[in-house]
Amino acid sequence: MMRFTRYIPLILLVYLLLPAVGALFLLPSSENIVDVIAGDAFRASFRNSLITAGISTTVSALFGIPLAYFLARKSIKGKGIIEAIVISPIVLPPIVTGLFLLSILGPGGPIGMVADKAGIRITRSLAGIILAQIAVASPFVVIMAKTAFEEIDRKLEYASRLLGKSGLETFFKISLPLAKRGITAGLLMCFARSLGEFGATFMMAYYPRTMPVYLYVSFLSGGIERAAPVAIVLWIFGLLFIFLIRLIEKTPGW
Amino acid sequence: MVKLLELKKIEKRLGNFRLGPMDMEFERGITSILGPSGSGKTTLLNIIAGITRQDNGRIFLNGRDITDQSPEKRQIGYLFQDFALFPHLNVRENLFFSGNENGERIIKLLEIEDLLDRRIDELSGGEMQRVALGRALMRNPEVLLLDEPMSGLDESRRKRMLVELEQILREFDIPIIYVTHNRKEALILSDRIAIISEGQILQYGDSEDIFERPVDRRVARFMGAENIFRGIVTSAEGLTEISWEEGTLIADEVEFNPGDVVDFCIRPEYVMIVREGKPLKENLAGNVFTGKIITKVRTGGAHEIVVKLRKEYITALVPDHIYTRLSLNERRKIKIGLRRDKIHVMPALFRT
Repeated sequence: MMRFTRYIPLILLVYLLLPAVGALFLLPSSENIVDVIAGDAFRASFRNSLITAGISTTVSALFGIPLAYFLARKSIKGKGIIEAIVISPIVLPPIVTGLFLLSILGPGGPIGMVADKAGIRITRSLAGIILAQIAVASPFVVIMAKTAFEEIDRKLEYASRLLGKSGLETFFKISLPLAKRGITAGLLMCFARSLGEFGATFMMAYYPRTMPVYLYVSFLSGGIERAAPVAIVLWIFGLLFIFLIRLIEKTPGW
Repeated sequence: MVKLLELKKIEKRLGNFRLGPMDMEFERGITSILGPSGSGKTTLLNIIAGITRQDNGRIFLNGRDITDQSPEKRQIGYLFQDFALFPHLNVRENLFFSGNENGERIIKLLEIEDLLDRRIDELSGGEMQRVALGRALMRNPEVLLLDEPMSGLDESRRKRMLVELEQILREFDIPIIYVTHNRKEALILSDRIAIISEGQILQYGDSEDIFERPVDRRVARFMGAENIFRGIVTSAEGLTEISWEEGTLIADEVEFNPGDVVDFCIRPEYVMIVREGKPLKENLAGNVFTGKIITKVRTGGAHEIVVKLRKEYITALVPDHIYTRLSLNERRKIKIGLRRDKIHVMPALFRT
């Protein structure tokens, strides 16, 4: 009995490894991987994914880092509620987030209608993808950056102020550089999450296709074999992000 | 004359803790704020620096009202307890952070020329202290605040570093406020001392004066007085006669009236050994008590002995040569005399 209990921690680990085993399993059987990757449809989805994830991450950084700093530094009433709002997209199923977004931003929704009249298309556009990705992935930036800011000794910021720097200068010269490790990790997670976003994107913009949507469409039309090349590319990206986050954690000075 | 740094009715509440209301003026030279941890020392510094906003009161620096100014506008140098050097910048970048271009004099004075290209995590505690002090001085502050700068340093080197620190600080003709819980540091360094306890300034004045004439038993304890007793004034004609546990004694003080309950203290160096057969010195007359030596501790050049009288314990500091000549061993019965010119009488404090 004792011997067996020793291996309990390993059970989940082995199971978590299963998708990776699956990827390796699919690799040789997907003979058409080069054809698929070279195809126009895949290339378009690849481009769409990179562009939208890049923009989503940038926008999440621009607005998420200030929000994170605010949450880390200010004690206000209702802060718990603000934090709950920030965390909610991580907890809610993305498809639910997407549906609710659609009800506001979609053609029948209040903002969607106004945008429509102005000739701006929110759904079924790159903008729709980006909005969906931000809704789901930006909390990673806020949460990671907030933790990073909280870990900074406040005396360092006070010292900077007393040495004549304004609050804004102090933010850029002291707080931001000292929080960069956590912020970068948050940005990488946000980018990875945007790249892999399916549920909310599916609701907001079935077309133009991102890689996960393309994967889904391929699966519907051609089963595992058709979907496998896209899945493997997404998997490799995932591995790359894990590697980068680990690298940042290990590199002194970061 | 324009007051250099002036606090008017400063008040701050933090949960159950209350600082002030406090009126204080700081002149050129070093003022120590001495008190136990949690007494409000750092809060007071933070209010002066603009890091913590007070609930009430105003602050004037060189005649200018800085109450509503943000920290960066105040022209105040602050040496934080753990120095708060920026870990992502090297020594040079830390020093010149405030944008001062001509800091050569300060770098030279602090002898940190060789450290300029070092990373912060390559510095020893003492080096960090000097760099942080240099950084604060580079700002050309009108007031310099130091928050327990010795507390993080190696015990064995503290005294030397304190002397070095004083030499550096004396080069700057500005008010310097030194916060510490260490009496010796305060006495070595400062021109004036403010004793703070539970958010209130108990006494503020010349270091020597506070040492010799504490206003009450709390201050006396902070200043290291060991022999503090309670009594009642029985007569106050010329000299003050006090009745206490051991009988009566006489003090030179004249500020009290018969019936006043008082605390009094005497430093161990003024508790004299009375030798049989020798004429009694005039300033010991009426103040001789008999007791037994309970314990002794050798300090440099002297022995500290604790004598048990009838009920009270009293500490005396006996120079080594007298100690040896009189062979003052433990359990020996002796007579001690309290110098009446050195007995300091204070109004009794009933709250402990």
